[in-house]
Amino acid sequence: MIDLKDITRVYLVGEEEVCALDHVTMHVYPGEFVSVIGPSGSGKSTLMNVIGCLDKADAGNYMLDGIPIEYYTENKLAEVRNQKIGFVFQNFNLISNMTVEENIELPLIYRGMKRSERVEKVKEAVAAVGLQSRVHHLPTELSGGQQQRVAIARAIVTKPSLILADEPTGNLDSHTSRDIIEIFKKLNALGNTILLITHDPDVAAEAKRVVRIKDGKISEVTKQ
Amino acid sequence: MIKFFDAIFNSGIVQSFRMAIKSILSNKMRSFLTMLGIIIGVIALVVLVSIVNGGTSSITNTIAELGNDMVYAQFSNDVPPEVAKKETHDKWISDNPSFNSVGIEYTVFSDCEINGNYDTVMQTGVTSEYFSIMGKKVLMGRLLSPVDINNNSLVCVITEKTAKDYIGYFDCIGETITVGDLDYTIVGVLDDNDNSLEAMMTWSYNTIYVPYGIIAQESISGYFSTCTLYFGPSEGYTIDEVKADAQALFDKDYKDYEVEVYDISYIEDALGDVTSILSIVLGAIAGISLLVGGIGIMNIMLVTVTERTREIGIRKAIGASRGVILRQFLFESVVICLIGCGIGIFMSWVLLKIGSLITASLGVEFVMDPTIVMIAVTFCFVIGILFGLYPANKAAKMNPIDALHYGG
Repeated sequence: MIDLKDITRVYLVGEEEVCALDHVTMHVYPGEFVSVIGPSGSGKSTLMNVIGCLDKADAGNYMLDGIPIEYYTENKLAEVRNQKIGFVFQNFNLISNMTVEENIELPLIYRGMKRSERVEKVKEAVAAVGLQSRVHHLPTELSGGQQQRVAIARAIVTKPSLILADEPTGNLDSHTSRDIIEIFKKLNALGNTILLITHDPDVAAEAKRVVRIKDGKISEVTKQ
Repeated sequence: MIKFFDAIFNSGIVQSFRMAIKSILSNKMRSFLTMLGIIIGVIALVVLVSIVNGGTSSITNTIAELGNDMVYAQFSNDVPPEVAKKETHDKWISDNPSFNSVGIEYTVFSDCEINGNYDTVMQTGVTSEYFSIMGKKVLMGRLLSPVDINNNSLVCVITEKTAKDYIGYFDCIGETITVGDLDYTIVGVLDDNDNSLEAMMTWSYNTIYVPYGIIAQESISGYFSTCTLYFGPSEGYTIDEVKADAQALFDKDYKDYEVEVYDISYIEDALGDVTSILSIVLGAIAGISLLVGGIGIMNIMLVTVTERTREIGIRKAIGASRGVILRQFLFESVVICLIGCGIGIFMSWVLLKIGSLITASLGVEFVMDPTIVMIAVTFCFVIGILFGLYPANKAAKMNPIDALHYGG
């Protein structure tokens, strides 16, 4: 499902070239729960951007669901992101002047779905994260954990091939973090493919498979 | 049909519109200040042009009352006696289909005594048609009748001013007024509320209207006289045609007399030129203020785009294409412009109503011209797109990763 082959991404920082990803080869299969762990600056965010179709690799091949991403235009990539990937970010990244419901509905609007269908899907996603009582609130009226649940609902509402979570517990206390991880586990149990990026070994250990990244290289693969 | 609306509803246009409204409402003060430029521009455009139009129509009406709808022929020295005769006038009318009516005014200034007061009075000899051609209305009593004219009866119609100055009161029907050697019986008092050019030029004189034949007699005492003929156009004929016919008439039959044939439409033409130039100049000034308003919108839209960089990043991450982002911000600037335009038009309407109330006594009414409203709306729409395009394009072209990590 995710098929990275010799992916290289080089940034120019001032005059200096920084190799964020150095010939990374990696596979994620449908239904897996994989965590990528690495210290800051290890290239894990770059990896996520490439996998999430937000960034393109300088070299190498990336196939997502059999689609060769490197040939896609920006608008086409937006479509791929909308249909195949659900993002969950560290800082939630909800739109502050839209209610919980509207935030969750947004990816469906971009997909061009009918209103009646959207309402139905939003309801399902809200139920999956247990936020039924909060749908008409603004994100600022919610706790961090609740906001992250909204973000998860937004990620799963399109029924994506892949849920991509970038430090989803980074801004949460340990208790709330547990809740969020539990949600991911539950989603995985329901058949969702999850790729979780973190620097926290405890969080990473929750996944079925842990990939370690350091200096742009995948250095270790642990099977649990 | 339902499918069509469904397509529109789901295409995101409605969503873009809703998002634009939401974004405008979430920052009310700023949105209002941004709109202010457009509001003032629209008010300037609509109010100024409406005032010019209102003024123009009021002046045009006044000119019409002056008598721009007739041709004048004025004798400078000698007057051939037959030009006063009804038969002559009837012959002219039957010979020239462009003439609907012919009137005459033969004025002589004489001394007058009444109740021991001596003054100069303007005796105007007229035919019975004169009053209707000049649009004069009787306030009391009656006008001169064809019988009075034919018999050269010693009767007169006087102006309100004459009645006030000489008699002292308006209800003077049947009283006698003495001018030179002649004693006239007053049969009517005219309404002085009259905007004709003739009334304006002679307002300071005390005027009495008498049958023309009396003045045409050479024995009348007086020291300055003028004779003017009036030609009213028939239905379907222009003033110019009447003028040409009148000119031909006098050139043919009265070439030994000094006659000047003229009309006063040139005043209206000149005024029309002035007001249309004024409209264009004021419209251009208002247009410039709208452009300035548009620049204000562009400025604030750039700020908005920068402020919402992160939001743009989020939207892109979850699947918004460039077109969707472009449309969202473009809608926002167009909606701001159109709301501003709506407020501006409403306020213009209020201002014009107030203006009309104030100037009601002058007979000037300011009406909002639908054409200028349409122009204002179109202009605002174009400004919204024109000045929204650059910020919206800036937003659409953002790199999602940079946008997502903007400011934190």
